[in-house]
Amino acid sequence: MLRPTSKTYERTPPIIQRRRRLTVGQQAFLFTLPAIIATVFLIGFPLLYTVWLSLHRWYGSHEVPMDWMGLRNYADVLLRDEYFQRSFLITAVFTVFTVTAAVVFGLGLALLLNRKFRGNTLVLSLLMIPVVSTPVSLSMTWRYILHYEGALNWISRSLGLGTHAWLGTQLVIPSLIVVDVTRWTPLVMLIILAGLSSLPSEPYEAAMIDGASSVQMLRYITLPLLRPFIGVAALIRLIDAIKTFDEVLVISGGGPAGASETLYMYAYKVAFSFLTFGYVSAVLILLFLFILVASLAVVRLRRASW
Amino acid sequence: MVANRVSTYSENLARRWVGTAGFYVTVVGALVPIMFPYCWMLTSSLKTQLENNTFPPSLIFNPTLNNFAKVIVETNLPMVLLNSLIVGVASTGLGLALGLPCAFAIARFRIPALGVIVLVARMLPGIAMLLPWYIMFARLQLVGTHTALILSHLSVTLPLIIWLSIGFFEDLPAELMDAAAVDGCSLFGAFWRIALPLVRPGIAAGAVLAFISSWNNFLYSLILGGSMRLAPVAAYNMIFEFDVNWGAVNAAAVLTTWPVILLSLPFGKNLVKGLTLGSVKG
Repeated sequence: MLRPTSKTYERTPPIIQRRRRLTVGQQAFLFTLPAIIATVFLIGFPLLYTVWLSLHRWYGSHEVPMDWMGLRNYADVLLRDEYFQRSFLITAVFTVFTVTAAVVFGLGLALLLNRKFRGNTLVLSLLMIPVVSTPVSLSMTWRYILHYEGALNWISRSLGLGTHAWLGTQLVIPSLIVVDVTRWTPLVMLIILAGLSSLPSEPYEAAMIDGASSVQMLRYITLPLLRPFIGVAALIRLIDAIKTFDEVLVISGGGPAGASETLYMYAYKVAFSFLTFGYVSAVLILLFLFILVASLAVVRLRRASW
Repeated sequence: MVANRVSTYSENLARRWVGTAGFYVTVVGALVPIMFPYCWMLTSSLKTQLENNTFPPSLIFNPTLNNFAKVIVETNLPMVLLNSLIVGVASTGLGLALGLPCAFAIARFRIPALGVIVLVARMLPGIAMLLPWYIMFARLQLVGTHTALILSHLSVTLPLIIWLSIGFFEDLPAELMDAAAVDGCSLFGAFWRIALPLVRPGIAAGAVLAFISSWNNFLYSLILGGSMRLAPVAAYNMIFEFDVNWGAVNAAAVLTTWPVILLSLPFGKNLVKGLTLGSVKG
């Protein structure tokens, strides 16, 4: 349908030997080809290789051949590896709290800022900083803030709350959650704010005529209409929360005594310290499957009614 | 909405003033915990080691640039930042060259399957690809080269660029493309001469975000960088190098993250649009 009409061809002088044009479908295929090839080489093959490794026992040496293990690596990881089980629990707790808090605060902040006010541009520019800042660098400062003689203990003592070992066994996960929430609330806010500005005004006008209160409008108009935006923000946050690594490595190193060893942290440790490639690959694939399952759950939740 | 009694002008004014003041107090209250680390990073980097190790912290101090001088002289940081720049620009450039035509085709011909693949790529834990990459690059003796770093960062920038630009290309009216086709413009012509110039601001924002994601990437650079250190890796090493010298640690943090923060500022609204558009159109 998008091809030039036959008349165009008739008008072309027969002397000029035109190369036959590719159909639009073929052209579109050529457009996507480079990206597909790059993705296959950079992501596809490596992933398949990791899956392949996860079905074997291999110590990374070419003298010793791989042993076929079937799914035994997976069974070992899931059923017998208590460090993996502990990391799984830590990651689950961390993720649930950090995603919920970021979405709640982000939603609140978006509703608050969804108006014209003086300093609007400044506030939004400031809130861009956490979104783009380098996690490692930011975490270095957090390490300083959270250490025993750091700013947080100074603040908490000034407020009469006493001093605490923020990076001790008890508080390290709550501390990391606070770090994560302060960093990612702005992104959630920006996504929801974009959603708010795209909402139609008619339902509000109708509700106004019907004498609805602002709470009712929030509950019955704004929140339902915002659902896709909240869902996407939660999904993005969920994926990244499960993959949290830089912050943990810099701030606590997974410690003390593994109290903050998230799944990603655990995968990193086994991957580059023990040379049991098959086992490590099984851990990595399981990590990916968890993210996939959790994401699907959020997508499902998004479609369900509230 | 009906007032029970007629309120006077001054009462209204007072109520509005209290409302406005309350609003600003809430905004500032929400901003303080979010912005505090960045302020603390800056002020600590300007303090002496003595001032940084006193408890409670000193709020009034004579700013000094010694920490920055120390970090720059002792750690070869300019070279590190240059390497980060090279890898970021190259992986973003490659990402644009490969990703833009793909995003254009996806938006024009509605190929949702490819969009899903891009989303799955985002879910993948990078570490799952890192092991095969490491084995491969080690065998090719590419660990510690720009090539290995650029290719690994491309796996981050490419899905991001595709993801963001699909949204921008979809915003173009379909009639425009149809008109171009009727006028005998090839698909490449429509892409190169019509679509690209129109979405340029969006693309710029997408490129900046891709560059930032490359600059911020830590794990790939740590494993595949070998002796070549990029900004986050160098910063991470300085935690141990300078140990309790928090002034130097924070100066390193400032020098490694403020380049991207400053880079993002001029793009303001477009960057926000890129971030949210790319994330919402799923």
